[in-house]
Amino acid sequence: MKTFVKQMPFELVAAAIGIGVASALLGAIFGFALLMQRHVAHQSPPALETRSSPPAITNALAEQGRHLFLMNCAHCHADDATGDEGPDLHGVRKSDARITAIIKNGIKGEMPKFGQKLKDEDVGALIAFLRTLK
Amino acid sequence: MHGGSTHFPIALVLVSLLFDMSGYVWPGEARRRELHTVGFYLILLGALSSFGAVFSGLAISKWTLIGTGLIAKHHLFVWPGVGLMIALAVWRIIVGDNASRRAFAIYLAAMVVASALIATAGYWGGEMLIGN
Repeated sequence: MKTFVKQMPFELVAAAIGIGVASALLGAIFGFALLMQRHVAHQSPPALETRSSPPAITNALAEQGRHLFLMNCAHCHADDATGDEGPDLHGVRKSDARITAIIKNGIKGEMPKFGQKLKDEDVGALIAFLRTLK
Repeated sequence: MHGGSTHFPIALVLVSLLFDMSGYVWPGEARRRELHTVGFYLILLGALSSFGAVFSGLAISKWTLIGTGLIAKHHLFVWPGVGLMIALAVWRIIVGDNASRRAFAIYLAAMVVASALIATAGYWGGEMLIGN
């Protein structure tokens, strides 16, 4: 083994060390993040039973909305829409027009606008999905 | 905080690549060394600053490592990009000025990949923040 290492170009040995160090550091970061996830989960209030899993989707439009939600909104509102950086979206009482305006124009300093990114049909699908969240 | 700190590794890795590529093709030996020295310190600072960007990002996403939707796309490029950047910085520390021209060409190719990964991660990060 020692002879093999001695015969390798030193740049290759350096690359192996670099990959080893990077893997160890990423492993440490991942481990720390997993520990912190547990810590955060312990601190969060227990979720209501009805909100512990994503709601059942009843029609194709709402299913399309759920897909759009996961792609565009879930990183702030959480995968199950119970809220994270953004608010809980269960039982929203705003009108369709008001929700459309918020999605399209955003809320200054709080939520980005999606008017150019999402078409009217996409916004409609998102609203259909939101209406399934009781 | 993530929005600010994340720009340091992106900028530093891209400019480091620029200096090292210039150094690789520059005809004069003295200027070539200077360009590579700048490239070395920039990738070193880029790798160091990536820790700030990574931890601030993890903190605002409640320590999510992958996630779903746009954040998953962001992470898909962040982790290999940061890993590669750290590995390349360690490689530069070890080899110093003693790398063969062929080995340095491979390093530059890997830096192109790392820069592309980091820049794409930045793009998806911006998509999350900006929306449109």
